[in-house]
Amino acid sequence: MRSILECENLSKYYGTTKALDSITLSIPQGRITGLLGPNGSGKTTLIKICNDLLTPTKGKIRIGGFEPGVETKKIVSYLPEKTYLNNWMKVSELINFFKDFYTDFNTDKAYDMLSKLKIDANTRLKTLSKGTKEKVQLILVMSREAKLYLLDEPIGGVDPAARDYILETIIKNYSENASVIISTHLISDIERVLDDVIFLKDGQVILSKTVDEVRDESGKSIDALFREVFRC
Amino acid sequence: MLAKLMKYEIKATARWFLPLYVSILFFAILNKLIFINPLMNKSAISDNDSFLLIVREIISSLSMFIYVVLLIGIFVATLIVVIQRFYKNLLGSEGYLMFTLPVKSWQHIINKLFVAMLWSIVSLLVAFCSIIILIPNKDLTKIPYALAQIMDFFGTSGIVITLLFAILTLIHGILKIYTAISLGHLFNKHKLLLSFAMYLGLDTISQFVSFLTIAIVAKAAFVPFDDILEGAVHHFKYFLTTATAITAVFSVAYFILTGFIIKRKLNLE
Repeated sequence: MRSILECENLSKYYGTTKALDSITLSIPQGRITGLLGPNGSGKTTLIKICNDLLTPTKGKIRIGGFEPGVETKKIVSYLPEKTYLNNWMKVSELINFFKDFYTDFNTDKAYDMLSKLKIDANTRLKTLSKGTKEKVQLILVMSREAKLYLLDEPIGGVDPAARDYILETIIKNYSENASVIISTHLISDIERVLDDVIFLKDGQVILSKTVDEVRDESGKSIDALFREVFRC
Repeated sequence: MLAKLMKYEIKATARWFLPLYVSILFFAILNKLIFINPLMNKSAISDNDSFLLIVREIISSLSMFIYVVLLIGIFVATLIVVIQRFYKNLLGSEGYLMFTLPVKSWQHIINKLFVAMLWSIVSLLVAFCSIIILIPNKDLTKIPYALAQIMDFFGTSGIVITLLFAILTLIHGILKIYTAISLGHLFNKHKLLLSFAMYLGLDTISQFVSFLTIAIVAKAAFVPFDDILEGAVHHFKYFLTTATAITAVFSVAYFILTGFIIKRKLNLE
């Protein structure tokens, strides 16, 4: 199986703190991977490095064969945990913005999802509620036909009812052969959609398996195993 | 890609500037009308009619006051937009979107710089136009003559080097702000305050280096002239050329430093 993302001894230090400590990973094409770990385990740092928002201290990282940069940004669709929307555009203007910069952006798909979630494209971003803003961001990110989707806490800020819809949106809309990496600590909610899991602890990979392997070997759900491994 | 970035940058900033430009020109015209209105003419109102006198005074002072406030406001707004677009759109949460666009990071700096320059120049032109509007018609005819005088005095080369110097000073000023903000952003706390401190630091360094270089060049290049005026023009050109060169060197340094911080040291919150 070809891999879309590869890390080799990837490290990131902030001063003396090791946010990522020599991580070696390979994410195959066409899989949904859960990047799981408690707060401060290095999930966001790893995802930021993948998006060229941070420079690694040591080690190598390749996405689709490229180091993070313009080439990888063309094929990576990223949902940060922060709301990055400005307050002066309308939703429709933001859709044009994405279409202008990303050649893989599917406008019809975006409008389709907007109407399903009953979001008016003529609304100014400023007037949207926090939850709606997150939905708009997810719609934009999932409307790209990218090779790799990096979703940082995609369900953290929305209510449980909306979580199911969001997960459904993710599963339905990621293109074939594309990979999805979902970082979260809300495991029970997303467990059913995952193919693979990676456990991060103190900047190190302590487990990297398929969901089936975990269930067969430990006889536990991912959520139960997570609670056991990360017991305080 | 740079063209696309600029398109959105202009859109994002135009909503601040266009209303300002329209209102400043409106008040310039209003003031002009008040000046030339016969009712506003002193002789039209008898000195006994104190009520009309007061009203006239209030209207003309108020409209002049608003005009002056707008004139100052246009430059304050330009400065604020230069700072805010860099700080908020690139280094704030919007940066998550901007820096994951398939665009090189130096293009973001160039984009911000070009659009900031565009508005600075347009603001200057609008301010200039508004002043032209206010100048009494009979004095307007003197402007071409005054311009010809200046042209004559400095010569074409003098005008060219002055314009080049002005544009480079603008670039230098904007990039210095960007560098200061980027440096301030390297700290975890008090980013804006530290950005301001960085600006003062950078400003002191560049002033000192400029002064020193110009002093050295001036000493080396001094030649006595029989005609004092001719000598002044000669040395003025020499001074400007040196200053232009220093400004260019500093601008390049600031651009490289800002680019390096953004590419390698950036950590968005």
